Amino acid sequence: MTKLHEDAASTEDPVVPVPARSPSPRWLVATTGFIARHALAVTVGGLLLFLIGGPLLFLLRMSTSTPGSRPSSPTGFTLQNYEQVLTSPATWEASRNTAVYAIGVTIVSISLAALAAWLVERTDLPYRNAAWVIMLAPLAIPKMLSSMAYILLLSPRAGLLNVGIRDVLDVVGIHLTEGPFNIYSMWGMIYVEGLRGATALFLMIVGAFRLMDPALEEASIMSGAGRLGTLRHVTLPLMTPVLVGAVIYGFVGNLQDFDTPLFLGLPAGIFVLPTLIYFTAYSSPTPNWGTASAYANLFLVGMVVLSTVYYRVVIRKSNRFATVSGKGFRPARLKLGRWRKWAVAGFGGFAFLVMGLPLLTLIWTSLLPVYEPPSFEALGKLTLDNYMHFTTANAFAAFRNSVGLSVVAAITTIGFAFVVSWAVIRVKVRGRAVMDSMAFVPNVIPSVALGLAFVVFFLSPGARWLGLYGSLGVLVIAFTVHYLAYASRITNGALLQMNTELDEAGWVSGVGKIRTLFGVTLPVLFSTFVAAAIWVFAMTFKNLSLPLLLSTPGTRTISMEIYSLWTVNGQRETASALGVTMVAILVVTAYLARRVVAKGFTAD
Amino acid sequence: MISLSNLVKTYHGNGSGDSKSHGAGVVAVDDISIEIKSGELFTLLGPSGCGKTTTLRMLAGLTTPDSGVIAVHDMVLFDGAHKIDVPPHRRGLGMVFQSYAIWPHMTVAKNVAFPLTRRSRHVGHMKKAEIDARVREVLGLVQLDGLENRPATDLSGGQQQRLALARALATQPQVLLLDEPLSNLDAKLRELMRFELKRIQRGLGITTVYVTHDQTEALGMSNRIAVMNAGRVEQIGHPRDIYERPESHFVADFIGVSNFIQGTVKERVGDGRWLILSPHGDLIADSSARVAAGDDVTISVRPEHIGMVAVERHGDPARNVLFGSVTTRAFQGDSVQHQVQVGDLTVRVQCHPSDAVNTGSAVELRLPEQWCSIIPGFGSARTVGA
Repeated sequence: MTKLHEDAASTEDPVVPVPARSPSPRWLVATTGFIARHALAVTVGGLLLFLIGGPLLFLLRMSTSTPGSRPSSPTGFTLQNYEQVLTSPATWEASRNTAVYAIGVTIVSISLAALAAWLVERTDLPYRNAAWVIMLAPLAIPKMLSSMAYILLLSPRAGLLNVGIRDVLDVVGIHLTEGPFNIYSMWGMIYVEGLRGATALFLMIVGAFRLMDPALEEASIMSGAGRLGTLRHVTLPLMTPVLVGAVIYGFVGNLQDFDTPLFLGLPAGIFVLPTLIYFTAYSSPTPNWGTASAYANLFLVGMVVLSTVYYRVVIRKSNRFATVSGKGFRPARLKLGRWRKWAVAGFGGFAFLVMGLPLLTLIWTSLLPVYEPPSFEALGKLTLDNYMHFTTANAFAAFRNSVGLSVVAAITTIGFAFVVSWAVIRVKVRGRAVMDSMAFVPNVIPSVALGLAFVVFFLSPGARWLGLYGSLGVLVIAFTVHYLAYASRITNGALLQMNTELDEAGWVSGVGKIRTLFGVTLPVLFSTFVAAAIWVFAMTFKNLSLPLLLSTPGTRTISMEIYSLWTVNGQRETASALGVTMVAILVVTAYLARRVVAKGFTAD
Repeated sequence: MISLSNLVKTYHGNGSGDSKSHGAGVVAVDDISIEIKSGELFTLLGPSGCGKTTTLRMLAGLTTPDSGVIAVHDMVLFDGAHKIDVPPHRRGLGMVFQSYAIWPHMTVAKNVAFPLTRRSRHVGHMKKAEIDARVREVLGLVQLDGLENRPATDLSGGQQQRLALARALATQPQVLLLDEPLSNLDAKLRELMRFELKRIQRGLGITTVYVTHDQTEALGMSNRIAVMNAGRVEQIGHPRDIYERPESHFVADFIGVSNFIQGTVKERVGDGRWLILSPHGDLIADSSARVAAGDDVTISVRPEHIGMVAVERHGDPARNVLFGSVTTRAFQGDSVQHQVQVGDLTVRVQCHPSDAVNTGSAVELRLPEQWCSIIPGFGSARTVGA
């Protein structure tokens, strides 16, 4: 018998693969494969459902409970809360304010962003690298610090600039007791946030400006149109799809803006919907969860509708305006001629108003025991005492919480996003389209509503047993969900771009899927993920709205600490010191990010 | 009519807009001077990187020369020494871009009308009716009438090209600039448009500066050609002169196909005729350039000018006669290309298919005096076709 086999073997093809061990029975392989594939889908899908669906569900539940009931024990089923919301004049005033604010900020931001993008990418603007840095730098300053700085400068009575102007007017003979400028106003809000908003929109549109075929503008120049005529009649019309997309994105984002209206609007009684929700939920004597939830739900529905419009509009705009050309001579730039000085001055002015002036003000304030206008005697009072505040238990704990929280949140967000993307794109589990959409849903949920939903959820009977409320874990989860949309877009993009053959080569070599994941995929995508993680770190570090809603005295973050020092205790100087430190940390983070990203990529 | 004097343009390191520049940079245009007559179609011809497009763009005002003077009709558009630099939208020139640069967000008529509406600020307003009439007129000239209200993106490549031309001509500019306008078209369309462009230009009598790397276009359309290489002008002349009397190795090599035979000047033997001694035989060749006895020269002769007869070598070769044998030949449809080995020299010979000679045959090559051009120097030693 054996000999027969040997003979048969010798006449066959000499290369016969020899299994390392005896092969598993087919049914076992099939079953484990089935479970593995679907386990992934079930786990990821289940987590998404629990973390996103759950809170939203309970927000709905809370909004229909009897007024005055608490999240831990929602009672009854009534539409009273909605009735109250829809009939209250505060609702409509806040809605109107929200619309005015969002429109105003969007107009200011897109104008600045478009002008900056055009100057940087399509003209011979000098010091272009510096201009880029100026446009990106505001990312290192948390929103609340801008508001705080401008309060120090332009609050009606004690604002440094106002005092200075009043002094000058006194000389001329005009005596004012306050003003002339009041930052606690709609104008103030639009001004501060409008300037800040330029950065995000700039990043969205600058790429398109760069890729546009320069010949289109040169043809306009040769046809006799000047620089301004070309900008008006050729460049801007061609950029319309990109600009429209950015405008809608910015508008939707500004509708849910929280930080600036909190600092500049609330003291003047100007409410927008996000601050109204916060106020309703937390105002003493009794927090009105039901009403707040109703507000949040209505707001949420509105946002969903608007976001749908956004994606429809952006996606449907086809390549009618194809402006990217393959041929490049060299990126020819319009000559600014005598407008050069003005353009450079413009960027300088922007840098001053958005960064220079606020930072200087904060630093000045942080070095004084009691803030006062600059003068020679004031110089004598400079001290570093406020920075010593770090040694107190509160501030130090807050600091530790913030850094730890942001690091963990960054890792979990990117990690979770990666797992979802992996399941959707690589493993192609069943129901992946739904999963991908679910990962993107949090994008349309305003952070205030999300925070509120999480409070309600983790206090509710449904999730109380997790014991997460009041811990940093809740914040980690909240941040992960909040930034999941952004992170999953990045991980999607990275996985889509990566050549599948890299993975497949691993699998074919006999390395299991999990080991390939760790040995091949992750190292290749490493620098992309690190860059994204650093971005998430910075965003969570700066965030105020979620900690405001979710943290308790034991889980303070640095942003919370600054807020309470500023509003509750009125210790503006200490708050400024902490704020300046925050900026320093973010600048260091940005520098590190640049190093990592630059190392990870080869010369572009 | 157009005068370019001593134009220089050097590109430095990165284009980040910072005033620092690293290293020597690339000299794109190296001191060129050209005079273009009114009404002529003048072509800048050369390989990529020779500086022809940079020169055109300097004339247009889109690129600023480092130094030099540009004048059109005695109006100085640029003068480096006197800090004169008229901005491009004030120069009154019409330009057709290589990519056409048709504005996709406008209709055909709007594309053409744009320069009329923009320019009227400076030159005096045109009424809407006048603008419409002019648009229709110029669209008719390029045979795009009837398509006024079509979105510009709905046009084919050839139509877009004609639209670009119409737009450039709308304001009746004094000079028309064309930057490789036919390079994006397929071969058949290119041929058609070559004739069209020439017809329109001759009909309007508009001074035209044309940039191309395609010699067929240049030879077929131009009144005069400037052959450029590495930022310098190698030769300016009428197409026939450029082709039949190349003055440098580059021109002889770049334009058409040429055989090169190196030799030494012995003596002058007639009006513009010189006797050249070469290892392959004595040749009398034509030269308009000044040469002297003892100079090293290269004789350039085109394959189609060489007479070939299959005959055994007999006696000493007369002047302008070479003996060799056919090594390879290739049928090209309207001609047959032969490679003839003459000693260590490979000579390309082109003849009508009915005069073709078999491979391996011994042949006698006759090089007529008037078709042998003298080029000073030895140039690069490679033979065309090798």
